[in-house]
Amino acid sequence: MIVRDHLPLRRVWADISKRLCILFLFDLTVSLLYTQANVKFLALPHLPLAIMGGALSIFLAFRNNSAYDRWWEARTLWGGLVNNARTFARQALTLISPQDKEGRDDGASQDLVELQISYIHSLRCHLRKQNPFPELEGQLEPSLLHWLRTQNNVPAALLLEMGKRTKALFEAGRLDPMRFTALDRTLGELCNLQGGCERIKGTPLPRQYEYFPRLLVGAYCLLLPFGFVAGMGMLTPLASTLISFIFISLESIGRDIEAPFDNTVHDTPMSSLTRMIEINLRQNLDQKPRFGELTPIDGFVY
Amino acid sequence: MQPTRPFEVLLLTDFSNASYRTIPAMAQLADELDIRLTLLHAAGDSNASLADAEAKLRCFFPEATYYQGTQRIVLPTDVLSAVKQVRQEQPVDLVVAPSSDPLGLPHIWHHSLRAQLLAEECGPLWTIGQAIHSTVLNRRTRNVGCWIDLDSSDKRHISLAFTYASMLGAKLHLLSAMPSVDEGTLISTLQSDSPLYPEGVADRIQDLIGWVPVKPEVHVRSGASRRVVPQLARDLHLDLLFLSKRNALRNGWTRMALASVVDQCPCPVICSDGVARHWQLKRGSAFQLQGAAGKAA
Repeated sequence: MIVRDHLPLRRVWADISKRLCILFLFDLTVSLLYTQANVKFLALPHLPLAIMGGALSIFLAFRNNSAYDRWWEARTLWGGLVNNARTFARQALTLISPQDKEGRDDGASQDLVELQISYIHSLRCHLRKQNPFPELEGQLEPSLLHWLRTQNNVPAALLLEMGKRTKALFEAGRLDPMRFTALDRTLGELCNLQGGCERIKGTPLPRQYEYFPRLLVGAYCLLLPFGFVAGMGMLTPLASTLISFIFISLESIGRDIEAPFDNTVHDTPMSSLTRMIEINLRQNLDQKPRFGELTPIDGFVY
Repeated sequence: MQPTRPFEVLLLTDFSNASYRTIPAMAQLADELDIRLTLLHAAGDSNASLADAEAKLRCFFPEATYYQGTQRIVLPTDVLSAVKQVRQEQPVDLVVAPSSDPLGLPHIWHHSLRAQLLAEECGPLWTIGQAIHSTVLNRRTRNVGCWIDLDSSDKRHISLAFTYASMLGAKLHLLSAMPSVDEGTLISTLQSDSPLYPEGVADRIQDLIGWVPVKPEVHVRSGASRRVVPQLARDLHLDLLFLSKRNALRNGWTRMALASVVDQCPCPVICSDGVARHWQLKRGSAFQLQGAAGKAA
């Protein structure tokens, strides 16, 4: 996620430079043909271009809104994950009786919070299609890790494990039915939020939203110099390229933010959020966090 | 027998998008091998930015903090000197350097850092091009390729490819490009004593590698290697490709540059400079080839 006030032009330029350079050369050719070679039929009336530009703007705005909705929904879902992870940790530490039958504290509540930390990390890796096991190796017992390696959906398997352990505590009489239901409801909420993230990850924007804006912006930018050349002459390439820059940038912004779980600068800052959750939960466990919170690098939070 | 130690990976970062793209690949590598990761940022000569650079490096690749023995180093020098300094202080088995972020403008005087690292023999170089698809970077290594140039005397990368593939239990594919035999290209074949038919090339490769415990698959296609190798890598779904230093470098206008095959390859590439002949990897130790390639190594 970008948190700096201004977006460095270098980042945008690399994506659009090739198209802009080609368009500039094309515009220059049209201007030269019109002014120097006297090819007058190249000039087009302004009106159709103005109408087409307006229609295209509406189309682009609609598409960018759809892309932004996905981006914002992803951030909202992660906000929910932060809240529910904290809720689950609080419930595990306050609702479960710490003593077993023999009156010893077996650390069952703490284990559930540790599992919650692992769940959040594995969900981040799952959404970024990254291998979670090097991170989980130091946090989970080998038998559980071995079982997780057989699972396609590691975070869902961790939710199941948390559910099994909660049920075992209920059967051991350390949770009354009301408290068990509350814990299970939080696990259900986590599962819903994970499902929401997976839906965004697994369902791209309809490809027509990607293809047609690109095609129409390209066609419009090619037509622009024909509309300008009669009035602006050799200044056409400047004006035309500037307007092309606006349209191509708009089109590129929509493409950037439509996939919020792809480990890019436009991503939901999952690394930062998971680190924050881990710090919060470890403090709940009275453990000193091993790492500090993540700060933006050059204005970008990952 | 040599004691086994973690596979030492030196990841170079300038906090660019390209650096971030290597993270899933490093996570995969950490799961497949017993690696020890060193994240290195060369902050240049400016001392004022050192504290800032350290803070940035602490926040880069936060997952690596959970990996065993990960260290983060910021050095107030240029990248090449920084890599050399780290190599003097600790073993380095693999240097990870992705391509730089695209600039969007032609940069004629650009001096490829990766080419410099290879030319200066800073260790085998793991790299990816700009066009690589992100899904390739986080999949398990099942198919390892090794490009064999029969006209080149540099065969040391073949040993590394065999070691890597056998330790991971991956299938090894030996790739070779045969010159197209038509009237326009006959001149180039005059300078080569390589066979001009696929079976002959395959036999030569077999002679070269000798007896090996893992039987590799040999793939020979005719055409220019800069086109054939990426094409084969795509068709065979390679997860990693080994290249020799000679094939990874080319003479640029003013200085050495990286061959286009490295950036066009649809999978990560390890360019070997022959320095690390014996990688000590998890689940076993390195072995040497028995054939001519083994003798060359």
